[in-house]
Amino acid sequence: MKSHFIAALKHIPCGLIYLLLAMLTILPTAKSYAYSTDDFATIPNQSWWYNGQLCGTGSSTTTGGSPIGVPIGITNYTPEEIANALTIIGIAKTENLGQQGAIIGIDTAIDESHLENLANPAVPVSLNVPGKQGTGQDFDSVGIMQQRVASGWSTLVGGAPGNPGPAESQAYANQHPDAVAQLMTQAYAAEAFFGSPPGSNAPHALSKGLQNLSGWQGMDPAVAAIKVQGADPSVARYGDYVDDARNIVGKNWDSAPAIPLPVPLSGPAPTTSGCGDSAATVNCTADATTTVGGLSVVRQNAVCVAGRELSNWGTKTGVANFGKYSQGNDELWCADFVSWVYLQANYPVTGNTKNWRINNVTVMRQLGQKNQAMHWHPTSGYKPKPGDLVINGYDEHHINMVVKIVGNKISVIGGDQPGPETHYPSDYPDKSVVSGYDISDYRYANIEGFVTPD
Amino acid sequence: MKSKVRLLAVLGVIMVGGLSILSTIRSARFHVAGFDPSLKTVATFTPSLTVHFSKPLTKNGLEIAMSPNAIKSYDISGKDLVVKLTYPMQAKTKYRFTIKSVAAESGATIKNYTASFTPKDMPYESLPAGQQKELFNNQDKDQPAALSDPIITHLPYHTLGFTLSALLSGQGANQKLTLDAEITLSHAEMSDEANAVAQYKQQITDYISSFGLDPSKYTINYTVQ
Repeated sequence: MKSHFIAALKHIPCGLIYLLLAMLTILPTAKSYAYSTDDFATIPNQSWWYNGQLCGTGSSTTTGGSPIGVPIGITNYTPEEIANALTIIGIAKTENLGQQGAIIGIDTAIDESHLENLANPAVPVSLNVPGKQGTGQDFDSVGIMQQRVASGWSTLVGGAPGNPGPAESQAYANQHPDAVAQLMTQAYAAEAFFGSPPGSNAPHALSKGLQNLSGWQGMDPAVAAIKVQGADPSVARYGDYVDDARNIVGKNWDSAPAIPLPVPLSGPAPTTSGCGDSAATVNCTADATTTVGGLSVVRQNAVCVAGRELSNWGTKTGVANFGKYSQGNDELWCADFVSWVYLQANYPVTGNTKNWRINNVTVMRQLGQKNQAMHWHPTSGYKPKPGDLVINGYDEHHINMVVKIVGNKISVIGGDQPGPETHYPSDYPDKSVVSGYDISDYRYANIEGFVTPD
Repeated sequence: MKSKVRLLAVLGVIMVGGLSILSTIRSARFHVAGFDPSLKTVATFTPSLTVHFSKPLTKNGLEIAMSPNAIKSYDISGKDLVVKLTYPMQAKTKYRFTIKSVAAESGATIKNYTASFTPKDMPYESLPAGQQKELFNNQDKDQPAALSDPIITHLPYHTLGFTLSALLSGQGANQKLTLDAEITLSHAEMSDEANAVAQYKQQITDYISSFGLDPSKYTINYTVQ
């Protein structure tokens, strides 16, 4: 039935689509149908930021974004579905989750419901909920995110005890029509999916969402979706819709308004965009193209480069491996490593692409003190950020990089760090490694200061 | 005329002899022979200061001090006292270095010898080659021993259900490595939370064991979200 409907829509003129989409925006509850034929299948995966032309047939990208209030669809999504996507974007904006959060939310909703607000015939009360846009049946799942009353997604009831089967779950849901209606409210469904910032005084139903998933910003969107939804990884197909989600977010992010949370949250607000808690982390699933949460593109790229080097390093040792950082020199290479990382981020610490390598901790600090490409901040009175270079020890014996900060705990990655067979002093640099570890409190860890790109 | 020449010659002989005697007396006396670098050229990043003495030293009774304190460690080598400095020192600040007591192998001693220096703010490139080399060779090697644990190259480790990472806490010799395990339960797992947590804990210990390491030797701090 849906395919016939979509085929019919393909014959509606483009100008009419504008009109209908505008009506849809003004009267969100009205039944109006339109369809955009814009096809963005060639847009690469690794970009976060896409803008498209409504009804365009040739060049697929512009820099202007969509007209304010006019949602932009992509092939196979109805205006109602795109309107639901805008709701997800609006909640993501309110919760300060950035485009990555919206992409994960929309990816999930596409897989779960094709972005339709589904009632469940096995939960009869759901069929009476105004605004239902279709039906689907799986346990007691309802709504765009296919959330379940029985498993505790509603703030109005606690969920069915134990681990009930389909019949028990459906019976439980049917006994709680208000909870069913809540899960079929698109804005609430999005809010529940996104969860709440750690530390906020949120009800249980809002404390198991994306924001409560440690490290979600760095996860593949499909993996994050699997985790939040508690889906079986062997059958979940969230990965099939990530591109669609990126396209929808890219084309509608600028124009979609933030939407107030149906269930207001209390507690600390997020301090950095895209992080959802007091942490500062970097999402490395795509190349950074814009400042996120106060972290410049340079910082984001540097952190991601360091992370990739750590992932690829394993247990390797020797100049054959660290030589790419030291330009072939068999030397102590901690400063070489961070110099190379910043070169890959297109921001040589020296300000000079040809002479990019600093092999000395002391010189790195003095570079910061010169206030040119890099800048010096003593630990006292400074709150580090991802991308900062850490001058370790009162004798400046080592340098590595902050890649994450949560409260006063920092995560660092560095080169020429102790490996399993590294003993002082004779095993440096030949048995040292690239490694990453956390420091419980940067203020009391013999850190003299930070050399930063801004 | 001849008498004047003779007089001058005698005076010359007396002077040379006197100087020679003084020199002999001085060399026989246990004394500070000099500093390297000279106290006038100490920089904020000077990594060590060597005090040359006139006689081989013994560690017995050796006691030194500096105000403000910039002494990291010290040792003797033949006639030299090598003081490793905590750098960078403060520029334009007068450091007062006191040898409270030092003894030569011969038994001679020096008490309460004092010297001062004011570090200069110099770029690395302007330091003597020896100091540059010493600064470079000092880096990296003084990292916490706790980071040499074999688990370090296998962390951080992420799965859908948990993140396992190495956590360094404490200061100086008290720095220790513990493991942080953050378990994140999904809605579906909340219905049987205890069982889900137990399964993730087992996965974590299995991961550590997979490298031939004994999980019981690690302090693992679990948090469940």
